[in-house]
Amino acid sequence: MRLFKELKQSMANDWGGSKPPAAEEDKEFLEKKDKINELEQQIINASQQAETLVKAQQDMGETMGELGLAFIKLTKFENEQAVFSSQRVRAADMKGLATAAVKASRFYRELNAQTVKHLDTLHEYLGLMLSVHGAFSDRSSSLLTVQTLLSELSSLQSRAEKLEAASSKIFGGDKSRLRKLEELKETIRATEDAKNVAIREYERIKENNRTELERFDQERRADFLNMLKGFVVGQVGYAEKIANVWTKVVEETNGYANDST
Amino acid sequence: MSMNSTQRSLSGSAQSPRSPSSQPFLSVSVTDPVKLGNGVQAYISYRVITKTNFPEYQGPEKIVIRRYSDFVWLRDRLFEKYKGIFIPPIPEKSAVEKFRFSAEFIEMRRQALDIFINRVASHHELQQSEDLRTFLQADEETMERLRSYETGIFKKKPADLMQIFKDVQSKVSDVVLGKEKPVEESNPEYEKMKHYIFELENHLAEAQKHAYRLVKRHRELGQSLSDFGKAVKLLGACEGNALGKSFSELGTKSEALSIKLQKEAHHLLMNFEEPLKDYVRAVQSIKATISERANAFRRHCELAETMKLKEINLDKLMLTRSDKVGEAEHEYNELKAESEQATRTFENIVKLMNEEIVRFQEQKTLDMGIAFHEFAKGQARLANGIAEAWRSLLPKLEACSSIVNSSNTTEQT
Repeated sequence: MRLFKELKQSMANDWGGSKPPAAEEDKEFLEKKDKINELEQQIINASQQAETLVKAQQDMGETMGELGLAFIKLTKFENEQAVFSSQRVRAADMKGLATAAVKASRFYRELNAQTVKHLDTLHEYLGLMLSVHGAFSDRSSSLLTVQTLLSELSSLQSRAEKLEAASSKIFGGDKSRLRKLEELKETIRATEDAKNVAIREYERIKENNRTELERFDQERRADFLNMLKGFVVGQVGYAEKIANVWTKVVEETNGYANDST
Repeated sequence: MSMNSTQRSLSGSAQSPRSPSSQPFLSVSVTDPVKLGNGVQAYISYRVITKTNFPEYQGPEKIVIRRYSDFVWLRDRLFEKYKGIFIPPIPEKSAVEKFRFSAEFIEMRRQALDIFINRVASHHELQQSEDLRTFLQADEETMERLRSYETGIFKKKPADLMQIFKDVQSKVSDVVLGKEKPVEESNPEYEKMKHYIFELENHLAEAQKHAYRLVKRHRELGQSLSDFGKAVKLLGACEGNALGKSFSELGTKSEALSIKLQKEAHHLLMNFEEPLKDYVRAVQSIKATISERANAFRRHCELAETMKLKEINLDKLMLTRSDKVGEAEHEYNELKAESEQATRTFENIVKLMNEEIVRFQEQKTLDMGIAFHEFAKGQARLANGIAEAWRSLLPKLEACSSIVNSSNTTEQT
């Protein structure tokens, strides 16, 4: 931002001549930069929430498993201690519940492993953001080089003008001034060359950035979409498996449903 | 004559739906919790609605207002009077929750009290209780008087107080009789039952603990889905286009599932965790009855011993033709009556407990069967809901996929 401002400033102050064609592109670039920063913030946020989601899924699976184990112990206990047939019936019911809970717990664990894999894409892109920032700073420093050379050139040229004006006032010429002028004109030519190189470099980097960003966008969209698909497919698959496990218990305990209000 | 006592009911009706009106019934419901009072003295009052055709009752229907401590009073009275019977448990006092009185706590308590009163009303012995009739019919002033008399003067539960009294009594007797060991039954079946009850409590407490944690996990997963949904929607807004829309729809689904999870958490709490907690309390109630039986046994033994000594003493006096014979004879007869009473009390407790344990086991199999059924139903419903929600996204994601892929190809050429 500052560089751009400085460039504008130096253009207004020192040149008064033709403005570089960069103004419009710069605005577009800045918008793009803002968007990328905003995107990064949202990826950070989503990535954090994804971690919390994964933890919650993990905890669910764990507790479900512990519940299952507690009921397995109860089943064993009732069977060992059974005096009445009602106890054996209860033990059988508990076993059904325990088995389902343990199975469901396993499914939660498997689902979570998949969820981690898919949502990891978010974390990956956080890493890739670094290279985007790198590209942006390359462009900035190249622009700084151009701006520095431009202002140098401008000050050299004004010095040359002053020297020329001063030496033309002396009759017969001023050998030392003329020599200085020659040297200055040499320097100016060299600086012109450097400026042209820098501008070509800047243009190259700008073009590079543009194509890189485009590629980044395309890949990101594809990767994110795959992430969503993978996440959703996994959720559907395991939810169905878990539903089946519990539906079996519902059917096994249907007799009790008739007794309740 | 007595009703179907195996029915556990949540709404209050202990009546089989197609019974003729001549069949005796007693049906109670605890409803409409209302918070009364302020700050530290705040409490919840409940409407207790009784419908009955029992002749001992004032009329076919009665509505009274009761509070938690009234239920405590009833339970204590029943425990005192019906030794040997496993008195249905009531929810614990909760000093912390009381101040907060969350809607959830109020609902849990109401449900537990409703279940308690219905168990009492459907128990063939307990339903005859005069204290029950008082509880269900008396006006609030009478109730308050009874309640504060019983629980105000005695800081402890009457049962606790009796226990202390008896402990002291038995300690004295033990010293007098030269015994230090407490007297216990030597009944192997009973020993087995006691051991079973004590161990059962441990197992159940663990299961209940995990059940409660599972409720929390549902809430946590729900919360994380909600937060994730929001974050994904924001990301979608940033991305824009087809992908942005996909993100947005995913976020919306995620938030919707969060609501399902919160609902299921509540269902799990009321229909699975609470029945388990109730089971734990029931086992603790049996332990109290076991303790009463031990007291009764001790008393029966002590009196039998004391009686023997008195008999020996009486014989001695008779031999010496002492003028104390009359007095001693009188004392002996009194003691004999007391001893016989104590023996009868003890034997009655034994008989009742044998019946109660059968009833208890059957009741619990039914209660747990229902609880498991509800648990499984809820989990299946939740899982199916989750599958359905995510499944509905798949065609949209496929459509988005083709858009993204085609736009990528176009840009590459």
